[in-house]
Amino acid sequence: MPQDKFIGELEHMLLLVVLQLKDQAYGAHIRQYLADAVGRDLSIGALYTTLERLEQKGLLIGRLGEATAERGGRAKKYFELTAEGSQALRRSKQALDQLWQGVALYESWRLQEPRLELPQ
Amino acid sequence: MNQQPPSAKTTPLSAQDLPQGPLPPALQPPLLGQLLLEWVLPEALQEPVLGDLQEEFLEKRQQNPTRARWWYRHQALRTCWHFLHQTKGDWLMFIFSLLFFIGISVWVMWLSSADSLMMFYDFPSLALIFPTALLFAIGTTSRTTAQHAVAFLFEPKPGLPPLYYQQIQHFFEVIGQSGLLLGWFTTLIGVVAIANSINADNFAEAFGPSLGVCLLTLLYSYGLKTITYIAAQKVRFVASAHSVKSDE
Repeated sequence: MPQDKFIGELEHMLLLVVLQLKDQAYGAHIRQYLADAVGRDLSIGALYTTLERLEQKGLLIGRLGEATAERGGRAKKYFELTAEGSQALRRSKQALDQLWQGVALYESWRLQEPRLELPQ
Repeated sequence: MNQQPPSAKTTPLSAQDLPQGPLPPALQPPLLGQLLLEWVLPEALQEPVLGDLQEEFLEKRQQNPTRARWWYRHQALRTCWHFLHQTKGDWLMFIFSLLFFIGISVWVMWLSSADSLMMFYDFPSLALIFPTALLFAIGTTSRTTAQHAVAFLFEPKPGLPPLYYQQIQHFFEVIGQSGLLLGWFTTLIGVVAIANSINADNFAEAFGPSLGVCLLTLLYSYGLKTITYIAAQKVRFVASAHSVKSDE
């Protein structure tokens, strides 16, 4: 598997949110969706830094949309997943699924619990 | 965390809810935050980022205007922090070098002064050097050039006509050079005054402190010359960096 196709956790999340929002995937929506869905409250700056990086990697494509009154006459920037983006997302999911196989996080935590007891 | 699929927007706001034409000041986000964002954000991101923030601001404002304003300021600061190094890295380094110079100078003065830093302060000497040098620079260039020079210090814009940079560089050079000449000139005035008033009885008392004050003008003028030299070199660098890029 080529190493440059792996994506980070935030990148993974953002690609999924862009997929979920379909033709409504622009900054404010993406930020709110991420906050509502997983409780990750990104600043708009951090969001655009990552979106720009994904654009540069060719995983997302951005286009300027319509300007509206509630935005002070400023245009929205919509994002869309590219074929390469879908492929990177699939590969990342497969890699995570593979690594999760046979891992039981809760049980392994419980096994460690008696070790925390102090000797009398 | 929600179990249900979250909605993209909690309280959507449509254009019908808003008054026609430009938004009234009450519906505008904090101006300082907007200006800060416009200053720091890359040009390509200004439109979407400012638009997104305004849209969310108006939604939040429906619930609590004060909280919405604080939210906007918080977002503006966090966003600026993200882009500051990317878009203003050169400017930050330039300002840091100036502050470092001033800091080190004050530290050396503090080390060398037995009593207090006030021995390095003399208002007439300051008034002789700084305003006069500034007036000379405006007089030999123009008020517009002075405004461009001040704007350049806050935002060194590349890609402008070479004449623009030449004029700004000239402005800084005139301030520095005339400040230096003024420093020597006023020091000479002081030396003449000391030489005329000194005698065998008051030599020890008068010569030291008088010469100290007299040399302060020279100290200020060299400080001014150093700072304006750095500013002029920055102008030269920005101009040449752009011409190299255009040649490529």
